[in-house]
Amino acid sequence: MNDVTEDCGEYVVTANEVLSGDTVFRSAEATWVRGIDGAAVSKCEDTGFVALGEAQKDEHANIVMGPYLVEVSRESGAIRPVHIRERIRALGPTVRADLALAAQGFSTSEVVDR
Amino acid sequence: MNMHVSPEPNMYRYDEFDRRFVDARVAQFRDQVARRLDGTITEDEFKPMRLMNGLYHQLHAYMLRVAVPYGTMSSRQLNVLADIADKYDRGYGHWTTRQNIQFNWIRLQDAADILDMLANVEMHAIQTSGNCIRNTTTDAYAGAAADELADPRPVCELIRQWSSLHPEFTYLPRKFKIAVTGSPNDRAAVRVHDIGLRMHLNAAGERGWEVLVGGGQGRTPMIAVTVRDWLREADLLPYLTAVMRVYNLIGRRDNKYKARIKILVHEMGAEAFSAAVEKEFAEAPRETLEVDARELVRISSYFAPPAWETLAPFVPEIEEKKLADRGFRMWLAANTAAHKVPGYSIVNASFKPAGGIPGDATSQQMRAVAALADTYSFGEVRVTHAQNLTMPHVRTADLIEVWEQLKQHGLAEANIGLIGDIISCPGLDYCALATARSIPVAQEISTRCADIKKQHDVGPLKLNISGCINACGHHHVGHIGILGVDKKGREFYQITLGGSSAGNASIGKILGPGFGADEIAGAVETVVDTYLNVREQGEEFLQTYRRLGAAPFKEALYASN
Repeated sequence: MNDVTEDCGEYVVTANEVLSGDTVFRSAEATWVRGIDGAAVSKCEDTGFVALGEAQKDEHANIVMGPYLVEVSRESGAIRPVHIRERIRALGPTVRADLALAAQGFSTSEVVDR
Repeated sequence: MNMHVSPEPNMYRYDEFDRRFVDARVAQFRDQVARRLDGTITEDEFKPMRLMNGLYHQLHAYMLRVAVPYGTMSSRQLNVLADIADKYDRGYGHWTTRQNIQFNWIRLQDAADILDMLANVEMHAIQTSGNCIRNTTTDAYAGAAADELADPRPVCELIRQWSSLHPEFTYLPRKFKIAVTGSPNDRAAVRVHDIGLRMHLNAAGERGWEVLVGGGQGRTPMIAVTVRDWLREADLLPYLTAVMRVYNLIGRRDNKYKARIKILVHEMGAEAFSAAVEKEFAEAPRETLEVDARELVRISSYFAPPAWETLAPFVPEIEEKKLADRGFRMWLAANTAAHKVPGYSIVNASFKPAGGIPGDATSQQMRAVAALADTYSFGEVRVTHAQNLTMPHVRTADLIEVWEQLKQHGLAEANIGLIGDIISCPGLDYCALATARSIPVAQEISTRCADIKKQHDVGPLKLNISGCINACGHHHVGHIGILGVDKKGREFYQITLGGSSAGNASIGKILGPGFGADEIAGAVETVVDTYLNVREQGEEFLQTYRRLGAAPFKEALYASN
């Protein structure tokens, strides 16, 4: 088991909802939410893979597709992907403020309807 | 004002067979979606089916790419695209460099309904993806341009019908793109396509085609080679079939990065490739030639010119307005082109506002252009490969009214063919393959270059931006090209200079080390300012680069480092 004080990074599980194609994140309640702020954070990649394994059951159940781990960091307390690609994927296009996730009216805890 | 309300523009219309085929395809896809949603088929099984129907999954959502055959559409079709944007997307679409439109926020459960809406106006999304022959592109001014030999669209339509679900060419080694030009002034980029066709007339006035093969962009840009100087029009499909057969049989399938026909032509050598095609062509059965000829005549009848009026080429009101209004004068110079019929003009609506997203069109803008086309352009619209719209047949006398109305909808930026008319792929803001953003770079450059007077002073300058090596923004053929790359998690941008997709096509050369996201727009400004300092009287950017090479630009950009 990983030592939580170890600097081994933090990870969330992401996927895309089959029905809408939307980017979704795995919550602590094992549901899928549209906002990254509602994602369950795993300390260290190994722990993340355990969460990913659970999430893959939802791929077999046809709820989501292509789940994978994304490394995140904390920015003013908020969970944000480290890499720019994942950051844009999580938060929406950088070129249209009206299309960014918050502007779409999704609360961070909104559970994907299935 | 002259009302040209015309529900039937001069373009191909479906016959019963076409209609049944597309309707059946929509029903088939509806069933495939239902089976995907109920879990009968997996994503791996579904993916090739949805791609065959133009449905991708991109960074944020499903994306639907709708085919606009050779860029020609009616106002009625454009209105339906606006309806789709409102009902199923987020109120906008994006014109692509293959004269198509993409919708970025499609839900899977809506996809079949959208295809139904498209089928109702004789449109579809078939073969906008996959390793098949994609939408054939052509000159956006086809059928209107003063300099064309003949309208190339009947041949484009013939190719479309031949290549749609062609049983032999549905699973090629890689995707395959054909471009056609009927003008000696190439506006269709035929030398950077898998196959380019260039129309010629012989001494007897008969039409024939120069066949160019093996051009392309992507990670290995190449200029096509001419494999036939002259091909009788009647032999066009047998010859294309021969090219495709050679490629399909010998083209590499072991490595997707070496699977395009350009690699085959390069590895075989143009002479050997050409010989293989000629051998295949010589052995090809000819029994369908008469059918092809009859079909071409039938198709051509749909493209009969509209009912032109006999008009004076000189319109005093326009000349007076030109003298009195600099804004109109600049718009006229940049955004209109010479029409083959006296008294008519080709009008471009610019979807490149300063600071805007190149090629994005709101549903309101689509409807505005559709209404303008109904009133002023026989109901006909073209999508350009530069991500703008063209109204091909506008009475010159109506230009002031058209300009005023385009201004009201933000579509009259006088920048067509200038530095503000940036071609850009969606980049990392939308695309799952991109490695860097391209739209913000375009926005910053177009903001810095917003001064239209300066843009006109700089003159013709094509600036293309791609967000990855796949080169969907055609940066290789930009006079100034920008390629975005990921360098250890940071966006970096390489500049290439000297590219061109015109008749004297060339691939741009990398200038030097790349620039950070906060540096690239300034670097482009330096390149432009350098050109202004070193150009000779009347010399365009590309001519200056070809005369002087990269040295003065390198000096300006890198000397201090």
